[in-house]
Amino acid sequence: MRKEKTEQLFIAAYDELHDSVFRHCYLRVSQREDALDITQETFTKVWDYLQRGKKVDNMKALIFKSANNLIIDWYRKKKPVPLDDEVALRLPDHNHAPNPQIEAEGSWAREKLLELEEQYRVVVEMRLVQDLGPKEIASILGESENVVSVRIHRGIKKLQKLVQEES
Amino acid sequence: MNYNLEQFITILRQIRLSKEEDARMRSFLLEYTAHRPVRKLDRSVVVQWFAFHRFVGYVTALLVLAVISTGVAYAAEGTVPGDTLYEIKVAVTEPVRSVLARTVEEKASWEVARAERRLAEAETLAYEGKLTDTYRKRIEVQLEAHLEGARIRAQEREEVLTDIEETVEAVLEVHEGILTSLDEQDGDSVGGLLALVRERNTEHREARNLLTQATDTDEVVEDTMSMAALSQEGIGEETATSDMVATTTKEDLHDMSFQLEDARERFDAVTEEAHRALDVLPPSTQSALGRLLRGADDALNDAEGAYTDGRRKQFEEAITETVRSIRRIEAALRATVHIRRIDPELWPIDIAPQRIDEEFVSPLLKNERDDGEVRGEYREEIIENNDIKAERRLRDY
Repeated sequence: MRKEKTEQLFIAAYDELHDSVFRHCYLRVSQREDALDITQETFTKVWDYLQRGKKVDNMKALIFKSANNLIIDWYRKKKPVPLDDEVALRLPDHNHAPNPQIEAEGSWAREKLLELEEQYRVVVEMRLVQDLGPKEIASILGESENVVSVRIHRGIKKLQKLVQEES
Repeated sequence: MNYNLEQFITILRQIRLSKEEDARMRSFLLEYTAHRPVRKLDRSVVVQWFAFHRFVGYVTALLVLAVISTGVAYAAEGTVPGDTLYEIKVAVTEPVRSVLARTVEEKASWEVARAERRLAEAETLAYEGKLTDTYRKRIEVQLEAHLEGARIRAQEREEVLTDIEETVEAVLEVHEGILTSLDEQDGDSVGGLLALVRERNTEHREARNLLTQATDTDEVVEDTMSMAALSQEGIGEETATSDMVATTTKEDLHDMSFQLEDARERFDAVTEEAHRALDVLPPSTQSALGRLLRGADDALNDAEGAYTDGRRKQFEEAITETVRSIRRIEAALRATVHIRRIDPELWPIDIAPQRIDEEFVSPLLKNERDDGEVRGEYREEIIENNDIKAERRLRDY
């Protein structure tokens, strides 16, 4: 009975969060296939954790934390490729594009986001795009809540400037 | 094309898995979980469930609290030493609340509240002529333990320590007034306790005077509020130049206006409450309360001035002072609750328990609500924008 419940909870978490996690990965690694792999691995890692009967205080934070660790691992493995690989960014993803214009705007928005410095980009993306609270972000990144709040505040200001410059 | 931040975010939010990708991953994970079933069964399921539905967790906690407080624990709340349920209050309800308090500030404030409760109990007993030496000594010991406990807990964080010490001082001042008037009516039953409160109060006053002398050597200041106002002026002059250099941005002003609004609301609430309470307070407390209200008003005016001129640093000093003064008024007002209880002719007795409950429960509710509201509104806005802008984008295209 309980066993089933854990599984149901896990699948519910997947249904609720898979898009957010994928988005988070995609915005960091900029390559759809890699982002898909990381997303899947994130959920299998989380299941491995649950399967050992461990306690989870905040599922969302755990999932994002795992995703973050995997992204860091991905960067380490991929060292030779520059982080902001512009070519990869501009490659249109015709296979998955629901609408060419939205896809074009998507890559434009991703480019803008990449113009933000890493430390701000990560928190701004988590706060605005994924709707995570400062507390959750702090626990995912292992920073203090205060530091995160300051970065969100500054990051949003910078991003606003970047977006406005364009228009 | 003209973009703003919301549109930007809306665009980014459209990044998602395709239906096929989602289906593939979902079935993979289902298979994966089937292959690796949960090994150890423990409470983790419950914990996870609460983590998932955090709000539900809070609501349940509050419901449990409500059930407890309407039952035995509630009946025990208004008891004094000698009542049957008093032991439940001191040995069960209060320690449970200590455990429930999470932050340093909450823990320390609750210790102060317990000290206040002991004082109120002694006052109630004295008013009824039932304060025996045994009860009085017991209360004295507990009072000292709670005050010490508050100090130790607050020491973990400096800004909390200042707040707590100011609250304690306000509490001691108020109760010194009440005990003195009881002492005059009723012989020497409160004598020992009054001496203790006086002694603690003097200690606090001396500590504060030392601090005043250290920061303000050539000025002998008797009143806390005028001291605060002076130090604000001093700070203002020092930082005037750096303030001029540092520009106050739009966001800063926005932030400041929020803080100001918040402080103003608290001040208005506390003023209204104070005016209702003034009639039943002993003269010494009345003047103390009046002084505090004036001090808070002055500090608030300073903050408004600094906001208009866009002087950020000075504004922060003033707003801190305002909040501090308001805290002291609140502490003083809490004491009036007990006076209402002691003297039913002056105030209907049924008001008292309700206020105590609000005092404890409303901060919990407030936190949850604040967060939820802000995020909820923001979400709604995004969703709305999402629809309109998606349409517009398609048209433009």
